[in-house]
Amino acid sequence: MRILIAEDDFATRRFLLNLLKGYGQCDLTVDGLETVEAFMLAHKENEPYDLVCLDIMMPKVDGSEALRAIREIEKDRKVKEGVKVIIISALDEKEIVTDSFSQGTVAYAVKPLNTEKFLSVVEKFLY
Amino acid sequence: MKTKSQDRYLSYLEFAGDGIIITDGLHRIEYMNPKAMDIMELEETAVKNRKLQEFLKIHSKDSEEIFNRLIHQCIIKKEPVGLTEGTTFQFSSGRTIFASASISPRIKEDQSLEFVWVFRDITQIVKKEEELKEKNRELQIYREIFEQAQNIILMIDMEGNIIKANPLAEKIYGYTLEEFLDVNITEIHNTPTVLESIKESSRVHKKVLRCTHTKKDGSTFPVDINTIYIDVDNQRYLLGVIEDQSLREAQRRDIVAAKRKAEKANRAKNEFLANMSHEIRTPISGIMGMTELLLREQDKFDQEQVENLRIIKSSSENLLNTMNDVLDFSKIEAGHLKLEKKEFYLSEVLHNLEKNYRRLAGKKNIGFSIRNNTDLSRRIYGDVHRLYQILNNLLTNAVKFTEEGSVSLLIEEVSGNDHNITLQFSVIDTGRGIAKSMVNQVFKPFTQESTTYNRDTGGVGLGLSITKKLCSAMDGKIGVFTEVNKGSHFWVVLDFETLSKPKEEKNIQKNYQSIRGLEVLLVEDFSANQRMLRRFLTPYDMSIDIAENGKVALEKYLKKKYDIILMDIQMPVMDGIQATQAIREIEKNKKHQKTPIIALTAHALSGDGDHFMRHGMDGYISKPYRVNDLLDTMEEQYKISQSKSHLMQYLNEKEEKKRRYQGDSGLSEIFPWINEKLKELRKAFNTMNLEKIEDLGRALKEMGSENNHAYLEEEAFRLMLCIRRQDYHQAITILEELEEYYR
Repeated sequence: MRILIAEDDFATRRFLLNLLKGYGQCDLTVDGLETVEAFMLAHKENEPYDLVCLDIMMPKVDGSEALRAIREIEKDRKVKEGVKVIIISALDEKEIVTDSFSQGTVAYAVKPLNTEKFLSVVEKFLY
Repeated sequence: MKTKSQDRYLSYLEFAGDGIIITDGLHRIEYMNPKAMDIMELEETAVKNRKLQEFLKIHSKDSEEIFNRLIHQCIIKKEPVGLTEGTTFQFSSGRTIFASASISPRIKEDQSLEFVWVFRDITQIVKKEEELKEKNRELQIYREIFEQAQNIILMIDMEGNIIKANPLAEKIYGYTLEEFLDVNITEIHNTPTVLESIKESSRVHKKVLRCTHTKKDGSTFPVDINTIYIDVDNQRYLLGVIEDQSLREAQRRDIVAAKRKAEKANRAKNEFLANMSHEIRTPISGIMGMTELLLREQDKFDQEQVENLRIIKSSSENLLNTMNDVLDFSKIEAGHLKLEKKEFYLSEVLHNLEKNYRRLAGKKNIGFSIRNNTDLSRRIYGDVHRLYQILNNLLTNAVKFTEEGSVSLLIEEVSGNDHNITLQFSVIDTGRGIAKSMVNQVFKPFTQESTTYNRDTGGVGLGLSITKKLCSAMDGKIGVFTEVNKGSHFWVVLDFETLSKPKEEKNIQKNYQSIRGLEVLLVEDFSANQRMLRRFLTPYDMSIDIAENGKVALEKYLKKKYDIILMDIQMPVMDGIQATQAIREIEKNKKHQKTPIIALTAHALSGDGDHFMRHGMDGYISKPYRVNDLLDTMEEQYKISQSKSHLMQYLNEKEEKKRRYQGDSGLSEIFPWINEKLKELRKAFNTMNLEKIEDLGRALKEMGSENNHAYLEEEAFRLMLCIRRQDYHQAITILEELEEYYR
């Protein structure tokens, strides 16, 4: 399993890594641009990610923009089933990410994470 | 004893037009002429030798009796005395007149004193004067109104000649009053037929119109005119009260500007709140997450350390809740509370609450129950999120303040019909209750019954005040019955709409602003369908080209760039899928941006969509479709095509460049720099300086990116990813490869 964790906050990134490293190989990116680059790289290597945990407020390119790009890449590559994405937001306001681009399998989690709930979604997505 | 001449004079006096009275020095009446008797309404016989004061009182303007004062003046001055203005004579008959009079002292031959009173009734004159004064005053008022009016006033005759203009007219039009008299209305009023219409509509009394007027300097300005026909001396005039709309417009602009400013400030506040929320939540979540990770490895710590970790965790949870309350409260205070109504079943709400509070109550060993007396199958339309918030606040409090016994939630229907339902929610606990003196306080912000801080019942005391505000935002009511040490009963009454059948999305006429004016290519062989689609789309100002089959579509596509293509599937000559594939082929070869293509299909099987998507179409809509579905799909696809995000454009361009520069020998120039960095990297690896490795990796990746050197960029990025996931072995392998490559 490959998991991509996109999160600019150091503490949260470490927390997510520790939480998820038991589920598979976790790559870490710190801004939206890196996230998309890592996503493309993984496709290039023919080892795409199985799960992306995406923070919304990130520098350079924000999470929703990155998600949009991820879906476009998948469409261009004619990927049948898009990668599963958990959007992690510090804002309790879903509408900022609920637009027509966040199609596909997406879950929302609000910071601070409810660990139990979060892991149950991760498990549902991965298995 | 009368002499002849005396007789003669007396007879003159008899006919005099003024009243004449002669008295002796003691004011006894010696003579009174008929006019005097007439004015005073007296008989001659009645007055002889009586004192004049008996019949006459004299009042000055301020109604003081001045008979004696006048006589006194007379005697001192030894010459006639007149009356001041406004003096009145009051007679014994009760009649009062305004009088003009002179009183003359005379020393008779026998040295005795006599007075001659000559007086005249001037009541009529005084009254007329007063009327005149009143009239002048009124005229003055009218003049002031005319001159000070904040509207232009023009009076014109039926030939259009300006007869009168107020000072504002002079100021605005730029003509002086004299010049105005030579101006005809046609020179300022820019409607050629103005004279005709003045004459024609002279029967219509009142009229309002909007047009432009011309000033003396030739400039024009917008006006609103109220006209009234008036008749003066049988002559008909038109009175125009004219409002300069350019002033109004300036004011309107000011208002709009002010509004915009306020909105901007408001937005700034909103953003501030959102940012605050983010900036605070992120570090708190860091604290909570790390603590949680440590707690997962409890066996590594002793009991006290575990307890300390628990305290960190619960403290950060409290901090987070407090911050949420404060943010909520300030949002509500700032009027940002928006109700978001949607359809829900009460049963779901109760189910969720039961699950949650049974657990929480169980932790404290108190009971929890829900009693419902309403029809749960009813579909309710309202803001369920806010309802949760209200009930959560009340239930959390109830559980928090109850040490033994139970907490229950009771739902009752207060009233209801087919469209509305009023529900009462009661949260009843057996907790500590609230002291009478505090009952009125509990809904106020920042109050908690006990002021001593207590870890079990911490918080800033915003919960109930938020709950109350939420209730009023939902037009509901909230209240409490409570008794100390017995418990509390909080109740909330809320109105909801109910739905009988599935609620269609409120058919708000969307205006589809973003797809107005698009260039659309419609590929469709049936003329009936062509017409129908044209009718659908023309209201949105779209320009529509029609192709009757795929081949024609392709030709048109090559000649013109369209914003969106609507493609029928089954067509003669070349079908929709072939045409789409051909278009995609052209786009790919010419590196054109993709034009969104929407399939219009009669195939209505699910799974067809995938089929079309695989063949290069972006969206599809199956016939028969509602116009809004079509427009929604068009809007969505157009937006997507527009947002082929900057990011994607950037990435695609980069990919393209990389391909083009592959193997470029110019790269050798940067090899020394790369080698230098690789050496540093090796050093950093030896000391496991992760920060340094990350920095160097980033520098190499960026160098690769700037020089379109894909290999370097990707390998450096891979190396960074390895380091971050603590896969040092793989990282070193990559480093070795890099060293090898650039040797």
